[in-house]
Amino acid sequence: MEPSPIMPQERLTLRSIPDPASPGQSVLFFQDWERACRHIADHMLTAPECEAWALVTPALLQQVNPSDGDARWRCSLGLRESNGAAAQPLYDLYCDAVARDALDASCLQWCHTQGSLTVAIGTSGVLIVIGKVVLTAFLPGQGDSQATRESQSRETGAPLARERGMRSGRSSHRDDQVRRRDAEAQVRREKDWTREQKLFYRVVRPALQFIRRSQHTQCDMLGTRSGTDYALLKPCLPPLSRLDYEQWTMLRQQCGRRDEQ
Amino acid sequence: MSDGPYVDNRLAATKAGIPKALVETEYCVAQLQDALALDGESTVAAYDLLANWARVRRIRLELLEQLGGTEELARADDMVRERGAELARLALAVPNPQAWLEETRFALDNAYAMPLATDVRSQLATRLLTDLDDAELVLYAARRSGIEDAELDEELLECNAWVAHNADLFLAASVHVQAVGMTLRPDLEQYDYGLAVTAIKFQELLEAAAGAEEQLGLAHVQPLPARVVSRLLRDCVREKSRHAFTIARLALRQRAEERVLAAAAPESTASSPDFWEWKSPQDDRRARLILPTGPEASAADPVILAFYDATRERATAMAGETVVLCGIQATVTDRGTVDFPQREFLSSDQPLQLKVGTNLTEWELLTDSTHRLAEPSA
Repeated sequence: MEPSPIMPQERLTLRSIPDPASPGQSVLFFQDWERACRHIADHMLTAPECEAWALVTPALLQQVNPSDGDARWRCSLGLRESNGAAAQPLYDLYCDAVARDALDASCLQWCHTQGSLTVAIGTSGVLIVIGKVVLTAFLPGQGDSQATRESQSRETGAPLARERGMRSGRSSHRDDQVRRRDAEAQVRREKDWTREQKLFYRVVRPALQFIRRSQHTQCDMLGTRSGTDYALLKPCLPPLSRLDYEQWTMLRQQCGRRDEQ
Repeated sequence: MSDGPYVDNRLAATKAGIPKALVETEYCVAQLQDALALDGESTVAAYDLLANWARVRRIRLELLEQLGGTEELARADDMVRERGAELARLALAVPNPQAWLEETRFALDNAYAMPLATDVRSQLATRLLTDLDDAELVLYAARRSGIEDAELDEELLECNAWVAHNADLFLAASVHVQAVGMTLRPDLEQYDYGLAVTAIKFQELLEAAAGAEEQLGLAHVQPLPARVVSRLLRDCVREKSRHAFTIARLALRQRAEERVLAAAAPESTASSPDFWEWKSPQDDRRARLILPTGPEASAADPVILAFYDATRERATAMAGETVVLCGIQATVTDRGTVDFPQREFLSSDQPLQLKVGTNLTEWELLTDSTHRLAEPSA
């Protein structure tokens, strides 16, 4: 009997993640392949957030170089082909990372449900919003929405939002020598950092700061809330001023995470 | 509620308790912690250290004590005391007020030209304001360490003047501004005049917010109870419907006149009839008034009002009920219809109101086409 031919995957296979608000239950990771692909493009393949995702899930580096804007752009265009089947490897990485943080959120009770929406965050800084399915999962605090839009406009090589405007440097003072020295200082500081330390300082702390700041930035001038109220998570989280690297490491261990150097 | 020169209790968000001084303070202390960890090694690290140190110095002591932030402030005080001049020379390489002006003009103009979400505008305005605040605080810190920068001072004055003249563009960050104001020492001017200068823009933005809220008519308005809002909405819809009645009657008269002319015109395909519909108070019945157009219609034809039940069949159970339409009284036939003499109907000056039953209960005119019944069977 001839073996059945191996059929190529025709579409993205959707998976589920644990529901942080309902232990033992799971929730679909995005409603359909189109939404899944859009979120992969918006978060894992868009600067500056893509660099942070490489710290959360280092296997991303095998799929795309986050520093290469052209490569990310090509990857983003290819997601929608073949009904998202080409997105499966990235989708699986995304899903695994979010699922792990959903388990953290359940363990530490870093989640809040209001009405039909649940907002949760894990120890890697992944912010998850769940309705009937996962609506979004991203790394907050990696740059404002303007930076994301501009990064998606394929103007590769353009400086990120935090490197423009007021912080772009005074030409009479901040010459190439100074910039080079700054870059060397960062390399020197971080050369002995483990991946976990980079994850904590570059991803987790900015994420928690974003949630705190959203108390005052997710509303109009009259204080009417707009969009998902991430500030609902604030009471669940430890005081940021008291969450240092050692304490964060202990929380990770409490969630069953091994030291992933 | 807080008080002082940096708090405006007239503002809606402040009155509602939405801006939280402790949340803003915790954010600032955490930023200083992160900056201390970087030890001012690079220009940006030095910039962040000095900006966040000065920012925390502006904060009310009781808030810092409540969060245990005095320890971070003390560490930063020591660092600035020992290395202030060195940090200032590094930090002053960073701020570019001209670039900030360009970015801010472009970004905020676009933010209101595009359909951006409210939180996106708010985050953008907050970031830009914070960027300006950082630069002013760094200049202050440099000055305290004996380092002057007249060029930067002048450029930042220009930025502040622009903010003052375009304060409305920063209203999206109003809640953030109110929160910052709540953290500031009420005696800041006496405590450190140089720091108080950096807070002037927040006072100006608070004033602009108060002016905007007053113009919107919201400053002295208390929220209405839900039942009052519901009644007002119902009255508004009814008033709009009455206006529609007048237009509808004019249309009916016009069509009657047009029918006379159309009778003399060449044969044409019949057009779809226009109709007006009402619903019963219990929403279990509909009434439909049809004025057919076309050359076959004559002035002798009655204007027919037909009643339908929930199954969309003629409401023959209503036979014998009294109906008043445009002030003309009639009785529902056993076919579930009412025939109004056309001439009498069109010459009535009464509003297009429908009242049904012994109590002459008014039915609601439906002006929304989505509520229309499917075309009934002949």
